[in-house]
Amino acid sequence: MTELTTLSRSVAGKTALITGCASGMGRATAKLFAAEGANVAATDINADGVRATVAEIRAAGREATAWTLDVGDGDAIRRVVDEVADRYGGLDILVNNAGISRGGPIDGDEYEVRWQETVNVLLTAHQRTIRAALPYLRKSDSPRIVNIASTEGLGATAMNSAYSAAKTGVIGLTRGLAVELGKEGITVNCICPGPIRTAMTERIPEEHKQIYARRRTALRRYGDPEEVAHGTLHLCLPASSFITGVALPVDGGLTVRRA
Amino acid sequence: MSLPAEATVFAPSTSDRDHLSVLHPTTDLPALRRDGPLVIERGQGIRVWDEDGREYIEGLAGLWCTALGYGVEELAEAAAEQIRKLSFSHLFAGRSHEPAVALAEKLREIGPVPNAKAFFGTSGSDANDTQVKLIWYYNNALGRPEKKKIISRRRGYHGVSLAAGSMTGLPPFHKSFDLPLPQFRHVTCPHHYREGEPGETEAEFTARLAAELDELIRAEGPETVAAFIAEPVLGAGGVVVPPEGYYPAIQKVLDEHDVLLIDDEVICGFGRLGTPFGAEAMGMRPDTASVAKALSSAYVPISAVLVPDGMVDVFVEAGERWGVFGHGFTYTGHPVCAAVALKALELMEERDLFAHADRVGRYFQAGLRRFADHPLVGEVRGRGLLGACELVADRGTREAFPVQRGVGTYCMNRCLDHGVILRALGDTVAFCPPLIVTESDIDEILERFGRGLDETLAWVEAGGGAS
Repeated sequence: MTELTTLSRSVAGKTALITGCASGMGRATAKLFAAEGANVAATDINADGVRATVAEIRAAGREATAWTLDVGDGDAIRRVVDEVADRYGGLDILVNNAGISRGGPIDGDEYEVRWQETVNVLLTAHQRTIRAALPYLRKSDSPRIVNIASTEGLGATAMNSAYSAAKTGVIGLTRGLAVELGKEGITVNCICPGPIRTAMTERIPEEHKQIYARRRTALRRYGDPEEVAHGTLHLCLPASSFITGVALPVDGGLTVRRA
Repeated sequence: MSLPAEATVFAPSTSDRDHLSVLHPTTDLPALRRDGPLVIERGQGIRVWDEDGREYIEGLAGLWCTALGYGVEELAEAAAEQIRKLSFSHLFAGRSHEPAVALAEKLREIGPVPNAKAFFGTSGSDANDTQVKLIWYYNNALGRPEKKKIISRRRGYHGVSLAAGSMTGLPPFHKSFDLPLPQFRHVTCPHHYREGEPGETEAEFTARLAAELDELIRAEGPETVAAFIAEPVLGAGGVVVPPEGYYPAIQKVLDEHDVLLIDDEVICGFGRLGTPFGAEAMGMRPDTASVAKALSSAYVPISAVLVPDGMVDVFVEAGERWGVFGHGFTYTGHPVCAAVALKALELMEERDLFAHADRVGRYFQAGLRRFADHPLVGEVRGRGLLGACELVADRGTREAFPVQRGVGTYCMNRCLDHGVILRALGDTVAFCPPLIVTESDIDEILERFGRGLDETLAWVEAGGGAS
């Protein structure tokens, strides 16, 4: 057997800033990274929610700090990123997870407003957090950026064009920065979650979730937030040093299933 | 349920959900499982839109029923108003209400049976089952309990419930459903193109069919035959227009043997053939009639059996001996259905819809006959706003395509691609647009059909569907 390298398979001791941690995938990611020994800087617009996530992590004897952050606010992003780096003495991992869902027909009265909100939170915020974090990531020995896109960036559902456009934009941003920052050793990847049990999908009745999953996914089921978190963790390991610019579906086979 | 727009990502579409919970009526079930349903979401005028927003002209008026088209505000209002005022009351045990009485009066005034009372139901099927039960009851009351057999025609369509399904003369509605019941007989379909002997004129064909009926009644024993049921123009059996003189010839036989004529006006009633009822267009003199479908323009389910006063008098006399007249449905004369139907009939009158249907019906028939020379078309037939093109493998010999090639279904689906909903009855493509169609609508329907038909010809010539 060939000798393996000594690349680390752990995020222990790394500092990870994760947005949107009050619920769903962000919360699961925060908990997983903390459980793996990372210092977790958890943010969310929902102050109570993110504090609850952090309390849960600390109760388990792991390290996390909560920040209230509206990712639609560029000034707030810069302030929080600086505070995180100050608190933990640097920043190694950025996970852009915070998101919203604003559907509606292209000719609907509220389309313009929904478009602005959607693009601002799902796409503009990503480049802002990345730009704010970049000075710190450049100092890390294993800098990682993971953006949470969506299978809606690979295909599309009717009446969700703003969401789909923004998520497709996230994939483009990921690819562009992977190429741009590659020479600095910073990896930039994105995850494309499919049907996951999160706040966004909680209004879909369980019975309808099952119908959708059976008809559309290879694994015939909805995914859990933790299964997305594991994808993110994998891309953030020091050992994942040669993976950059990918859009990794974590979708139970939604995008590959034809019939 | 309908989800908010925000929640549609990762939610199943209506067609996704359909196959788990819906058993579809009158459907090729394996094909449905393979292809999924077409989900219609909304309608306006003669058009409907599917769940993806695609527009179609409803060339079959839904199921031969949406005479006034979709989205008629007055009908929505009539329903809402009646629901607010009295959402339900019944006609059992001496109860009555204004909407049922007013609708019955209207049908007595305009219906094809003189001096008739109305017995209400909710579908053409239950109306025709009621016809059979009433006639059986009638003959029992008259002391002739043997006179029960009902004769209908092969390819006739009268519904799917036990008696109605027995009268229907189409194999899919019989085989494996243990129908027809023992009291039902079928005679030849009055379709000269398919049933006529080589060289036989329409008059000779009509005489032969009248003789066949006479022989059957004699063979069964006239004392055992109660009624003959007929659609003026056969609808779901392929839009078959009987030859001139057919009904008078049939009627003569029926009269001779004291056999009642049930007029199934479910498709032909209310202007479809260019006359108020099909009986007038085709020269029928019915004893009783069934109406449904266009009665409410399909805004609500309602049907009626029109029974002459004399027959009802017999029921009343029988009641002295037998007690309660034990036939009726919870929704017989449902006040909301009756109110909407009454409004629909008022709108038809206000808009002079029967005359309009007669006028545009002639335009439609002329337009449809332009396809008579098409290489795929064996026969073009129809009357008023009811029509069909029968597709054949050989126009000279009238040879049909093998059933398994599914040529009619292929053509129907191509027409669907071009935005017109028609209906394949075997290899006959049927048309039955809402009565509100205009001449330009008809041009559009026929233009879309023409494209579908040409594509079907190309497919047939390329050997499509042949195994």
